[in-house]
Amino acid sequence: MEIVDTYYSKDEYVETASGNKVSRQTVLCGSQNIVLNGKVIVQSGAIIRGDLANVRTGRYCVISKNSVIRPPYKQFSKGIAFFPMHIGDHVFIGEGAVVSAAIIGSFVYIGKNAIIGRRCTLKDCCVIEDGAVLPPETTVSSYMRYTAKGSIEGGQGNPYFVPAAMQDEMVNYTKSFYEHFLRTPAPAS
Amino acid sequence: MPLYETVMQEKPPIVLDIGNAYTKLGFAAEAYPRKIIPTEVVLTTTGETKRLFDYVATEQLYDQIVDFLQTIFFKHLLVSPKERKFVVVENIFGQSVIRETLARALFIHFDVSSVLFVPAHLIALSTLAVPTGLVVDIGYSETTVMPVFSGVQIMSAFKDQSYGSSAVHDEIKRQLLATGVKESLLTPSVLEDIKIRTCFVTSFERAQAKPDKETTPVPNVDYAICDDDAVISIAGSVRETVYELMFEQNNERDSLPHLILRAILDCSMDVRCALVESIFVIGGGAMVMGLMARLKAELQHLLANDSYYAERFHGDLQFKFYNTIGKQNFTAWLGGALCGATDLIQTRSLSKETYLRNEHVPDWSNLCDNRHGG
Amino acid sequence: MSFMQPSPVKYACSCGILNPINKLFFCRHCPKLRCGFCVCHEIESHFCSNCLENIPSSEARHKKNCCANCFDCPCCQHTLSARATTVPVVRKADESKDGGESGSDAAPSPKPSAMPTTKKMYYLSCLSCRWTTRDVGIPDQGVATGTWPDNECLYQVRFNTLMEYYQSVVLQEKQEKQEFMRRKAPKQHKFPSLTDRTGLTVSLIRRQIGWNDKSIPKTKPINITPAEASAEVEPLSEDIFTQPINLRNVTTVAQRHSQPADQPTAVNNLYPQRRSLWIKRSLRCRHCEHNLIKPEYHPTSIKYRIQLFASYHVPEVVMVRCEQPLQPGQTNAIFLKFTNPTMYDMTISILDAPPADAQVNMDAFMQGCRIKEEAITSSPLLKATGVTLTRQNSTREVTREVRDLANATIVPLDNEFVLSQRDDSKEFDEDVQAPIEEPKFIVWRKGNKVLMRLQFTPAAELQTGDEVTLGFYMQYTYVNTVSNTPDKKEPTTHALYSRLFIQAGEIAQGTAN
Repeated sequence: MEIVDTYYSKDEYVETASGNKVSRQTVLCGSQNIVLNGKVIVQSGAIIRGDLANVRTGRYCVISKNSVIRPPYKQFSKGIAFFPMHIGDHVFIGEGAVVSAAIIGSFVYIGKNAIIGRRCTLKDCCVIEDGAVLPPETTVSSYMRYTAKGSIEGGQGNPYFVPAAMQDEMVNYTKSFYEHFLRTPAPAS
Repeated sequence: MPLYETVMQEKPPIVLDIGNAYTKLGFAAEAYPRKIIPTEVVLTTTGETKRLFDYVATEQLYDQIVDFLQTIFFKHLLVSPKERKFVVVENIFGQSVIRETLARALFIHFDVSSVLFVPAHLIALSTLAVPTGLVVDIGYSETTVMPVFSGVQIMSAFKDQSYGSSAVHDEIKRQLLATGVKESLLTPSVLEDIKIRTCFVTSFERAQAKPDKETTPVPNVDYAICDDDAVISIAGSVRETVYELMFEQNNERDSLPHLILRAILDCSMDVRCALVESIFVIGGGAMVMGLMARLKAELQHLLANDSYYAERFHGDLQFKFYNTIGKQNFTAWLGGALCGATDLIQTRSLSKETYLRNEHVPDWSNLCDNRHGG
Repeated sequence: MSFMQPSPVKYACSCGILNPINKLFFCRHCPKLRCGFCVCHEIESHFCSNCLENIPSSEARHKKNCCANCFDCPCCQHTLSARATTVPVVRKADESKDGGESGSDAAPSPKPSAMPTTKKMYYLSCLSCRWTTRDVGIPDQGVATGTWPDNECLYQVRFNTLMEYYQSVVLQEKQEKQEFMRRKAPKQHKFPSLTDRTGLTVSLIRRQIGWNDKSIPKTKPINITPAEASAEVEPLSEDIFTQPINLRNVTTVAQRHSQPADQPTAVNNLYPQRRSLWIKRSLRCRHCEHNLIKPEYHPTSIKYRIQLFASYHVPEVVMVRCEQPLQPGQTNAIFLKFTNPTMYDMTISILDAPPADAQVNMDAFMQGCRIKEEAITSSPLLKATGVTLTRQNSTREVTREVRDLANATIVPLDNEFVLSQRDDSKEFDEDVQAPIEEPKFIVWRKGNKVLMRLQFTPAAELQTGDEVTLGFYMQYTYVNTVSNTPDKKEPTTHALYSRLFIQAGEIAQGTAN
């Protein structure tokens, strides 16, 4: 199915010079530590905790409604330290997802209401299904699909679980999502 | 060592035992299967999981077997099936369509080099290094009894019944529903978990005790269902009585001890005594606490008290049982692994060329295959 | 479009199965669509999905396809991670949780204590169910990886004896049979042997020279003690009737099956298992034995060495929407977006029936490809040695008929339309709509994409809630870029066709008529 145009009103979203479309109803703590590389959409209700550590996103990412991006922490004998979080290009984070991963590669699809434990590593081109819960420190390697049941399936070359042309699909998906996310045209008056 | 044996050690044959509930897979010459996985297939078209032998048309079974074998090779065993030898442990009284479809999938789709079909009961006995025994296989959907004497299966005395672990699951479900548990909570995996962790076979004395007599009740168990946060209480009576269906007394004489005795009686007289003293119980359903003790007690009781058997069995017979060397649920697989380690793979398998001549697996029940002189 | 929902547009693969385009591949040499079912899967490389280490296949086979460093929790089957504690070498074990990762990364920080030396000891713990190796009594190890003990199989010795016994039995039988055959049917030689002419036998000559008698050592079967049946069976323990069981201490089926050798019933007998490896696979077309997909060797690389996805060669059809709610018997139109992924312009036409001259084109195409293969294999030197380079065709699969699910009739287009080539630089250009004559069914055109309108009518006998499926043949021109011929030829253009099925949606609850 083709993506239909979604409209947002002018006062709801802020459009920056590099093309990021950020909703005003998000909670962006420590926005000086958050780096959105360009053409990133952050929808309303999202929470990005830049106050804990640096958060760096790649191009054409989509952070959907009510998702939480929180940098992971590591416990030391002398206290807790937060680590910077890197998200690659063309990543789609679904609605309601809670992401505490340390590194998210490029071309990743994270489903709705997924919970990514702290210090997880999601490599490029992986898929996290809707509702999946990743325990802390799991590594999901490329072309693997982490199911809602908690099992890992797929692999590069396996045409069934993750499409083999995942990279192109995510590029097309995020680009067309961005292109169809438009400002409501001003009413002719 | 001769050359062919070193070559065999390079690429050991794959041994498969595809049961109704679980599949045991591994390589020959290894002491235990690499994996025991449920016999379920993830459909590539829809992504849902279903049982492998749940099909309507043969084509559907073929597709499911292909998907299932593909997961086995590329996810569990991590070997390419091309030009590999196989040992498939099967029930010789199983459906021919399953065997034919499996052979077709292996030879035509996966291009394997040869397949050796071995009968499960006979090969399980090989793990004991004894030539005689009465093999009782308690599986998921059925229980089968096959006497083997001097390495030959006595097929005319084969007995089977359609109760196995799935009947026990149904019985648990029935009893729990009667106590008011919601049916939606009792999924097959929950029933299986309840059966394995809480249930057992009660002793002979308790089973014979009259219901009104006061016996100390078995303690209840509170079972928490993970996905639902519901806790169901499993009464002690459920725990000890679900396995009674295997020992039920009825006129057809088809409960488990009866099957064993009737199978022995169907053999000729000279072998009966040897069989009585070598009973071998295998299969996943046999791994329940208290089964062997109860079985022995029941057999002795029947021999002494049931007139039908008392007049046919003479002498002071004592039942003797063998212990498996591994766990009972993969004993048949283990026999296949032993067989796959020998030279029988070269001499007795069905090779690809022979199969492709008329796309048919030679079957013991098919007269065309067994005629002398072709 | 979402990854969780199946796509409504399905292409018919050459084996007859319907698949969306992201599961299909295109074999340039055939030239046909292939799906996961009709290709040959091959193993490319092994790697561990946790430590992302590439493992050569011989080592993988030796280690039983398990990773050397990573372990799985026996309780919940997730990965175990090593946790460090510092233990002073002498007495008072002052345990302090450092929470470090596998030793090489964590910087050791010995607690300043009265004891001069401290050592780092590691134990494995699971982060999702809090199981640790200390629960089963495995002692802490000095290094994070490499020294964790494996549990042994208790009956390995007996199994080995059984195996040797059976091998010797079978070998002895085979030798006896060979002896029997030799004695029964002596080989007829064409020429008289030395023994016939002179009366000397091999054993006589050997004795004269002074050698030992030549004799094949007969293998004697190794004696093995058969198993003993005993009348004593394991009795049911009495405390099962009195003691309440604690379900936390009893293992579940999945936990038992993860340790197939011993399958313990008690939780404190569960042992951490080594993590199994994963593979990367390459796909090969069965008909022409060319690779369709070949991934890079390295586990972290997502690139492919060969990538013949269908979405790179076959025009992609995406359903946008239907014009009106679906009603049986009512003419409707569907908007379809076509995308041309190739570097050449493509002419597309939509037909009801397979084009007649398609078969002729196909044969010409395959002939072109086959010529170059014969050129390689017809070298006289190779023929003399009897080596054939072409592998034996490994397909014997019967192609199945495409199930025609279409229950709506379409109105085929009057004329064909052209999709311009894919040009990434045009993305940044301004949209200049050139005022050229467009066929009526094209709604808009942008770059290599076209949105067009196709009319169709669902069948009249459909009920509310039935799925409406359209089926049609799409013919497109494909430029063959297979350039294996020794003489440089111009790439040739062929007309290929694919059969598509589109699930337009369900019949809406409409006015009863």
